[in-house]
Amino acid sequence: MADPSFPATGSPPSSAGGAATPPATSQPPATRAVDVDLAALDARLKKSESLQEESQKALETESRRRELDDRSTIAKLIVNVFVYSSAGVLVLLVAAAAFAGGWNAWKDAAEFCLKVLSSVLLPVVTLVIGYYFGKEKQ
Amino acid sequence: MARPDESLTALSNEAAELLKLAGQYREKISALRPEDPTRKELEGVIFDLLDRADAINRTVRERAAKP
Repeated sequence: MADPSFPATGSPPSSAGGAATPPATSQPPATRAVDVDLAALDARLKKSESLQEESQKALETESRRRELDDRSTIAKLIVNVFVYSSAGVLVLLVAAAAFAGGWNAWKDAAEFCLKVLSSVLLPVVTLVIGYYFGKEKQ
Repeated sequence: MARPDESLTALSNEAAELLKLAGQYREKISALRPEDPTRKELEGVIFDLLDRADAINRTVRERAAKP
């Protein structure tokens, strides 16, 4: 029957044909080898942990970049809407004044458009830009 | 508004789980005797787990760096 203290694929004990080797002499090298293995394992574990931290940082940076892109896009969109709607209203007013009713009809329409712009669009633009730059400072 | 890419976050979490598992196995190895064959097997498993975690983390890092 095979000796259970030896692995199945290992070599048979050298004590078969000669004197038995005392276990104390073979123990220190084995322990050293195991220590080296464990040290290598620990080093490898540390390396993997640092790689994990790096990837976490990259993920955070990517998230921050996406957030900034989103904010920038929204701010640009709102400002563009404001500028183009102001320009459109101005063009419409000038066209209306030129072709329908002359400059006398311009005053009421201009006041109405000014009210709309100042009461609806301007607060929205202010809010968005304030939010954008406020968050930037943080 | 903007959230980190969900797939990348999931991958990163997966890698963290693998690392945690490897750490747990590392603790178990300390309790085993040097001649225990389970020890060698566990070492192999740990290196495999770390390889997988590293590969995932490299992928996450590369994909996160792309604009």
